[in-house]
Amino acid sequence: MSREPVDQVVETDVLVVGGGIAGPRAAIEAKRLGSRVFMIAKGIYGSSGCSLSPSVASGIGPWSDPRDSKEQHLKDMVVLGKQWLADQELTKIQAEQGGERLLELEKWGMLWDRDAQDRIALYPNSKLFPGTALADRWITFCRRGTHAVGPFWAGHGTVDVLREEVNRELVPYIEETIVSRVFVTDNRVTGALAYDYLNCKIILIKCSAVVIASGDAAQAYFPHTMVSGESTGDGFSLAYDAGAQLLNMEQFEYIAPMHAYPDSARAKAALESPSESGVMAYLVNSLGERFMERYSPVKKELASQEEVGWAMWREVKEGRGGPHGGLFLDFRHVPRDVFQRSCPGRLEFIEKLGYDIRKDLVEVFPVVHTTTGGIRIGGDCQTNVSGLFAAGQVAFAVNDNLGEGATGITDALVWGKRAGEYASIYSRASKPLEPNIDDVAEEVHRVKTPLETISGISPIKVTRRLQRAMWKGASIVKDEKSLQETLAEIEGIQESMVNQVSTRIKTGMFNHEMREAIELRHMLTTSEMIVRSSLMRKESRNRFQRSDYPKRDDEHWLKHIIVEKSPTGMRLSTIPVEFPYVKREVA
Amino acid sequence: MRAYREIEGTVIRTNPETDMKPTPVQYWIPYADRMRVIDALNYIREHIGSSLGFRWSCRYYTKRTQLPLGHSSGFEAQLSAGATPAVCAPSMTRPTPLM
Repeated sequence: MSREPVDQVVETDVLVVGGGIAGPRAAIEAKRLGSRVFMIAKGIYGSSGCSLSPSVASGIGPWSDPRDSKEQHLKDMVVLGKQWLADQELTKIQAEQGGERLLELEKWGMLWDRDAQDRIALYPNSKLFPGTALADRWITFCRRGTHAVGPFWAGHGTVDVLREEVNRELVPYIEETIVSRVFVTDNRVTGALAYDYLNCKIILIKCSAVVIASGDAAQAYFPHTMVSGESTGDGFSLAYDAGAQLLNMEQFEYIAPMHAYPDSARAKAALESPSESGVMAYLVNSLGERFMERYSPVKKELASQEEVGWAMWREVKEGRGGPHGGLFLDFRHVPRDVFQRSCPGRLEFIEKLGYDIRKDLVEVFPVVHTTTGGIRIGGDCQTNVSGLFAAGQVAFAVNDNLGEGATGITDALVWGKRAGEYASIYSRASKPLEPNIDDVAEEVHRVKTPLETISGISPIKVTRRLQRAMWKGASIVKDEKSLQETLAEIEGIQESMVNQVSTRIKTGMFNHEMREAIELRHMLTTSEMIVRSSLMRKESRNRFQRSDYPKRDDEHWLKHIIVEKSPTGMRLSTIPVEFPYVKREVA
Repeated sequence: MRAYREIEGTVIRTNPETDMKPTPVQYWIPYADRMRVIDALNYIREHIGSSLGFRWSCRYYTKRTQLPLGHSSGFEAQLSAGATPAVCAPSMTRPTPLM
């Protein structure tokens, strides 16, 4: 193999992969501690990714209810998701430091919403979402400082404030660039290779520490997903290829009634639940039956998100779905002005799509909200590979974001800061190694192949095929057979199609197919981890449902599933979940 | 019930590798109810001309009124049959990273 040249070489101490919240927070911290930092964002920094989406943040600070405490926050994060898979040592750190991080953000310019007495105002979550937490704990962002009446855009605020701080600290960053591999020699990070798809440029980064903060992988379930298009699981695959361990990749969260159509509306909830804020919609199938009466005769649409999700899955599976694979929300009995008063934003969007809620049924389906497994880290954010750090959604800490709710921003800030801090300390103490020249040449060749292959398959076609297989066989309800079929499909794609991927346009500026080709490789690895872990977990645990093992099995499966790379492929093992702080309640 | 219909859309394109002269290119897109401009663009990119490059992260954020200033990008217009979609072409410039 010839020595393939790269277009640019960057030397730095700490490379940060990801431009949402955890990534920039890590970059700021490492830069302040005196390290050279380089940050890479896959989209436009500040306008892409899922970090923009959270509307509220939760943490314990001066704003908290006097009945609330850090211990209670820890307990809620462990218990309310009903999964019992959180890493309690890490969750405790998050509960203790979350408030600090949110306050620090305010010093940098964040406008947390304040009440009439100029105290940081609590968002009334315990009233709006009964059962999520005992006391109001969430705070939100308000741009004009007026008291918020609904959820605002805390994610936007956080990303903007961090971007200003990144610029103030003069952190160098590059956008529209995807990282294709992290180089490791003797279990130590030596650098990474990235592809700038705007300028068609291959960049080699030489560094001693890498912080992965690239978010989750829910795009593997497209179109049944609400995440932004950047969440293709790049970080999981980078860590796996580097030799790191990943935990509980089979776990994900889903939300039930999201717009099923058109594509561009899929990120929007028709309603957060069929009964949000007092608007009680009926869920009906294509026969016009209010099918929740069969699955949950007492609670009907008020059943939990999980139950509504399973029911919708069954209805569609048994052929009573709508034209776009969804079911219908029926608002015809809800007076328009009641809807207008309680959820003005939802109504506005529904009407913008052209529905008349007095006549039309709104087609909805359940979507994957986020994958909750991730890279195994310690309290210092380091993985089992020296110099490889992970932070935010891509790392495994709190298992469940929906249970307690609003943990995303706090998670990203707490772990981002710690990753930056420990990566900086690590890089100062270690002597940098040069990346192995053969590894670099091999990876450059791999990145360039789609451009050089004359005729082949467009990457987006292969990606769609993978996504269809994932939703069909490895999503809300699965069994041995469907998982094996999905695995066979993934292996088939890996064997016969990946090498044939070819971009239809051979020249380079802003060639999205090049990005898609690299994303496809990452998504395939991540999907394989998801399917293999799902095959291993022989039980049903709340959001994780296997129809062939419908019972929860705490005796055998209160365990984390570890995936790691071995010479013969993926190696899976388990370790028991530990309960050092919150003891397990026997249900 | 849902009749198959095609609509014609014009995308004003530039090619930064040759010249920046805007050229209108016409596409025929199958129309479906409630389709929006970005759905049409995605259709073109996936099925017709993959050389069409545009930034699509804005797909996620449709409530412009709630966004902080400075995040006003977004395909707000709704596509209706027969109309020529107005397309915002991405500018090929971005802030110079601090290197």
